[in-house]
Amino acid sequence: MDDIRLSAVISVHNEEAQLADCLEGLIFADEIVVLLDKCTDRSGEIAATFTDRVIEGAWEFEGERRNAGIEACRGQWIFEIDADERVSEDLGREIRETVQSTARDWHEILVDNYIGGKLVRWGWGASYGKAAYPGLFKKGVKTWGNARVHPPLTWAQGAGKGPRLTNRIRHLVDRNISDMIRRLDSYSTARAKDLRESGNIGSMASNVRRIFSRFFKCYVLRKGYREGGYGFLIALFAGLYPVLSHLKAKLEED
Amino acid sequence: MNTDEIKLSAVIPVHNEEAQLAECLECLEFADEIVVLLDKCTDGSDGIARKFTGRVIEGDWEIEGERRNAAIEACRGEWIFEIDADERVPEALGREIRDVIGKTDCDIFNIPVDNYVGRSLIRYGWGGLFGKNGYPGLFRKGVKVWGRERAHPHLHVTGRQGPDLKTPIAHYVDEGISDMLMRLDRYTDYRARDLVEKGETGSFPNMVRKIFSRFWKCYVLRRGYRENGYGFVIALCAALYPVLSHLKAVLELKE
Repeated sequence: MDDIRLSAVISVHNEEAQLADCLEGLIFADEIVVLLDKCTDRSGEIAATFTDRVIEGAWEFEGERRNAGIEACRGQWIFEIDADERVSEDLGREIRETVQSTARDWHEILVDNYIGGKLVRWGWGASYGKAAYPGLFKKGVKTWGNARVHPPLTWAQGAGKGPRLTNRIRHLVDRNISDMIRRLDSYSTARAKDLRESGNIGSMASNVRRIFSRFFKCYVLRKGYREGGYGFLIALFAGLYPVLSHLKAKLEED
Repeated sequence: MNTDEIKLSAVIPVHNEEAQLAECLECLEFADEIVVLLDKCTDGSDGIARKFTGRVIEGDWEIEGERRNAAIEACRGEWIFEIDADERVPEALGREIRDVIGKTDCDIFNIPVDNYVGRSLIRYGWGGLFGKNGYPGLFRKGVKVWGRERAHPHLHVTGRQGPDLKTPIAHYVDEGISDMLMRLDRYTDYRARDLVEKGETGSFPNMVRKIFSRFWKCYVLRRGYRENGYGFVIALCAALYPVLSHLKAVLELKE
């Protein structure tokens, strides 16, 4: 077990269509850990052809699920990935080199987001997509918080952030605009549950203001306008996410 | 029943509605015949329909307008009452319909609609192609023909319009906000295909302006603000319908 320097970990919920594609890119790791969350399709079978470190269970909270995945890793370093992400050989090599040579505790990985076959580089953010994420870290320094959607992160005291990696991970976010709408729907439903549980669902007025501030942030500050229509939609949906979550929390039950 | 005795046909087009079809058909007893058109049904809709009527037509229609015309065509009554699976006819409306066709010399009537989201009656703010406050659902055979669009087909109406009926039909539009968003997704899919077929995808700035004008129309002029939060979501969906249709057409269908 001492020779496990690097674990790649992935949490999966019914991903038979793309899981093999994703796992094929992970051979650079010393072990692959697959966490199967309420899977009813062939994901388990596919995972078993790549690794024997497969954990099955049911987690309600995104954060707990991710923590359980990390917990199961035996490596000193952990690389977290999702089923809709793809690692190039160059990124794999860079990750290996980084964990050999770095003096720091965690590194961010830049993300290339694709909608359909199109690379959409600008305009992401505001909880509707990510331009970078802290996906490479030493075991023990990163803990996910308890939320259904976009759980917050806590870092161990003194954990030092290293430079971002240069190679980007490919994130196949959505196939098309319908996928974007469905993602807006499922995120805001999960977020509404979190809001109801927290006992503070916020006010309509402030959430309406956020439509405009978040649209501005994505479309203008993060230059979504460069991406034409998709940049507009990302900004629009990022803008609508808080108000829809608020209204679902206010008007509807689980 | 002898064809001559069929004064009123109730007609309903259905696509996989096993969950609510029985409830809808139960309130159509006041009609002389019920015609059910099953469009690409793969669930238990067929069995349910046949418990209520022998007039069941099965087929596969791509265009909403054609489907509705085929359904009307299959009716043998002098009068036709059109209904959807998510609508319910209160007894009073059934009585009013029979009453009206018994004595009128007009040809077509509007039926007012009470729209429900979940269990809340939402009276204000509908429109912008995203909901209806009334529809010309009662007419003499031959006076109403649907256009060929996939979403919200246009109507070609001839004949004399009578006064609106008084009793509203209950329309269970959506279970909640998720349903509304899924409907927005579906409608904009159809609309995008229609736009590409007609070669009129419009301009992006124009569609962005429509976000504001349509929101204003539903939320303010049609008083959606009175409906608490659902009025906001209805106005939002109506507002986004043109720009989403446009972008689906331009980014995903053209080329």
